[in-house]
Amino acid sequence: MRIKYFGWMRQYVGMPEEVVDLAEFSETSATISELADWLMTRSAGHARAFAQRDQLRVAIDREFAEWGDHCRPQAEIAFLPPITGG
Amino acid sequence: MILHEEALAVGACMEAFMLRQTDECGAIVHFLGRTRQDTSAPADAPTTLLALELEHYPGMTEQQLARMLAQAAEQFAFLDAEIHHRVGRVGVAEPIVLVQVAGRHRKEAIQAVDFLMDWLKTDAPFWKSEYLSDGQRMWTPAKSQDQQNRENWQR
Repeated sequence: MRIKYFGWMRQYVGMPEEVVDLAEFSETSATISELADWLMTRSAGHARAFAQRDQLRVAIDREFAEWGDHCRPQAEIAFLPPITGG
Repeated sequence: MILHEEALAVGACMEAFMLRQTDECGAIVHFLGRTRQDTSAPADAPTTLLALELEHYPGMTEQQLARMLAQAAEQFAFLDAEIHHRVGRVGVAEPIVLVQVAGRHRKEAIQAVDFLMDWLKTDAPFWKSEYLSDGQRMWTPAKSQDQQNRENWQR
């Protein structure tokens, strides 16, 4: 799965994206929330990025999704800070 | 909808939109959003805003903007609509977004522009950061009013 970070998420994590193998953290189907729990353990930057999870939105394959949605092996999952366009 | 890496040629965009409308069109509304001299730094901080940086999610941005235009078309009986949005560095007083709607009458055009801006500010994946005169760079915080404005359309 390709994990993408934007805005201050990218700043804290220290990279715009990373590739994660679903099998690395779950033998069975995992939710986006469970993915975030696992990503938090990867570095202090990751932990900081996900510390205020209630502010974040998620997208799967470029569509808004919910934290309870399940990861798919080839999916692109993005973690999005509050939007400030326009 | 069109994303622009360079400065928006506002006059050219407006004229092109106007010229392609049919004789049925009695009203055209153009909304231009600009970078305002107003920072997220604390009120007593001696800084001014030099520029904004606009980042976005390539692929999702275009999809979301197209979806918003389709949703607006269902809700308001306008004839034509177009969104132009900057990405990259935008200086103070420079255009960030141009939303244009053509309608038979002004009501649907005005309402569609308002709808599109309220949705864009919550659902189009753009993020602003600010270059300040003291060398700081800060992420622009989202406004809860933007979320309220969007929700008002769903009542």
